[in-house]
Amino acid sequence: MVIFNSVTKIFPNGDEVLTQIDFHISQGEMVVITGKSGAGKTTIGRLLIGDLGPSEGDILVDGESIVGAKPKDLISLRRKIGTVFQDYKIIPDKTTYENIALNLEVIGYAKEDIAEKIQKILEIVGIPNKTDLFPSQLSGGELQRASLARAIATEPHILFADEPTGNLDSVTSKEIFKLLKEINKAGTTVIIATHNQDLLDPNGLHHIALDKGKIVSDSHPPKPKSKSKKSKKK
Amino acid sequence: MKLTLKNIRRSPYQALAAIMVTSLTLFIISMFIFISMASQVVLNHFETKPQIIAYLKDDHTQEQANQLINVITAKTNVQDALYISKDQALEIYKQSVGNDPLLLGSVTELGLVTAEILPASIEVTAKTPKDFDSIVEVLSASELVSITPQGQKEIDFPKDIIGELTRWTQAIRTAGIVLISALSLTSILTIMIIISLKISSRRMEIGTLKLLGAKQLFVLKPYVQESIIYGLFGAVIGWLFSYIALLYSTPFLSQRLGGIITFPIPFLIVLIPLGLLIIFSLILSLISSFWAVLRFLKR
Repeated sequence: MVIFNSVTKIFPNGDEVLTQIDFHISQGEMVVITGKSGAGKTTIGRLLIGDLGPSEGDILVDGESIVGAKPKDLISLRRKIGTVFQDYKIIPDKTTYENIALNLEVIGYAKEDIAEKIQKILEIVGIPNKTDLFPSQLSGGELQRASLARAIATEPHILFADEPTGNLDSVTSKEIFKLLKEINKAGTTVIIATHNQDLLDPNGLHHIALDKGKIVSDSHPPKPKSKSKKSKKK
Repeated sequence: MKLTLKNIRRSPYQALAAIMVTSLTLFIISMFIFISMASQVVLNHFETKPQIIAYLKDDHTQEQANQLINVITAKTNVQDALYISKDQALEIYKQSVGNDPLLLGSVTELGLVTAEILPASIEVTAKTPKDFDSIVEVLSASELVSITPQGQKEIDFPKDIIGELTRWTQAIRTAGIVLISALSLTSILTIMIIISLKISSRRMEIGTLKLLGAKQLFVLKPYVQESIIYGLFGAVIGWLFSYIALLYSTPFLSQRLGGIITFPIPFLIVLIPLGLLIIFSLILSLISSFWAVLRFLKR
């Protein structure tokens, strides 16, 4: 579903932030990309949504290369991928409702369906009573949930969450992580980029570890043994 | 549209500046349209009136007058040439004084105004004022045309009036076009700068919308709409002020141009400039907003 094929990214100032990155993410997977600040996690996200182009290599989403994609194709790519930005990118002079509604309007959602949809989403992310509040009136956790709500409102195939627990306490972080797991269970491919490995239990998850723009490990969860095999052994 | 109105409310002084500049431009354009329409009517009035009148000696015959008309028509660029007998001249006089018995009965040095004391004439309408000289030359050469006590042929022609009017009309048009061009450019620049400022100040929001998969049109539509609103407000306000100015000056104008232009001017005719202003304001707005948007996209 998402393939990074020998991707290198060098910024115009000469900084090589990613070097020969190769990974494959299957549909419905939950992937955790870990690494220290500056390891290249955010750059992977930006490459994924076509905000940046790779200096070398190829990126495929749903079997189609996004390198050198036309603006029209980038638009449809971005509509497939919900993004929770590291800095939230919640528009400050719009309420929670308006911020989410804007994303739905972008994809041409019918206005009469928006209110109902937003209420459902806010209940899922756990802030049903914050519809009319502005970002400045929300706590860090609530902002993160609002950002998540905006990202999943359009029911994307892929959700990329960049440091979703970045500035949050451990309890809220665990709640957000739990939420992301639930979203994944519903069928969405979830990619989480985080430096906070302690909060995650990479066991049972596809885990890509980055260091200085290189993949140092790419471990897939052990495949569950099928019951039929077990019964055969028995 | 909701977002557009919100954008306008957020910066009322910028909106006011844009609307004021646009209104001023469109007010001047509206006045220019009124003046152009009026000057064209005045010019047409003079051009379609008999422009050259040659008074004939009393001892002429109509046959001789007809021969002279044939000569003029053959030799010069004439639109129309008519013989006006003494009786017809009296009728014209009566019409011009409005059948006022006092004026009709007035005693001149020649006695009461009768057909006898009025001269017959040939009235010629030239195709263009340029043809005056050749027509007057032919008439002057005719023995039929009467001679003034000063020894000159009795020929009236308002060459200077039409020439002057044409010059003034052209001068007004030239000055108007220069003024309108300068003001239009000022309006375009003002709206463009205001829209550019707004786009710059919402750069983060625009960037986010793009990352969420918004089309360019979706992102930039509110700014184009905002520009159109400034233009439309400017058109209506500019037209309204010019209409007020027209109403205010109607008594003054009707005294001077009453015989040529019908006052008060019918409202439907006054609406013509409004339609033109709306079209022009849309052009101004679209140029300004697309300019601002292109500047943003190039960055």
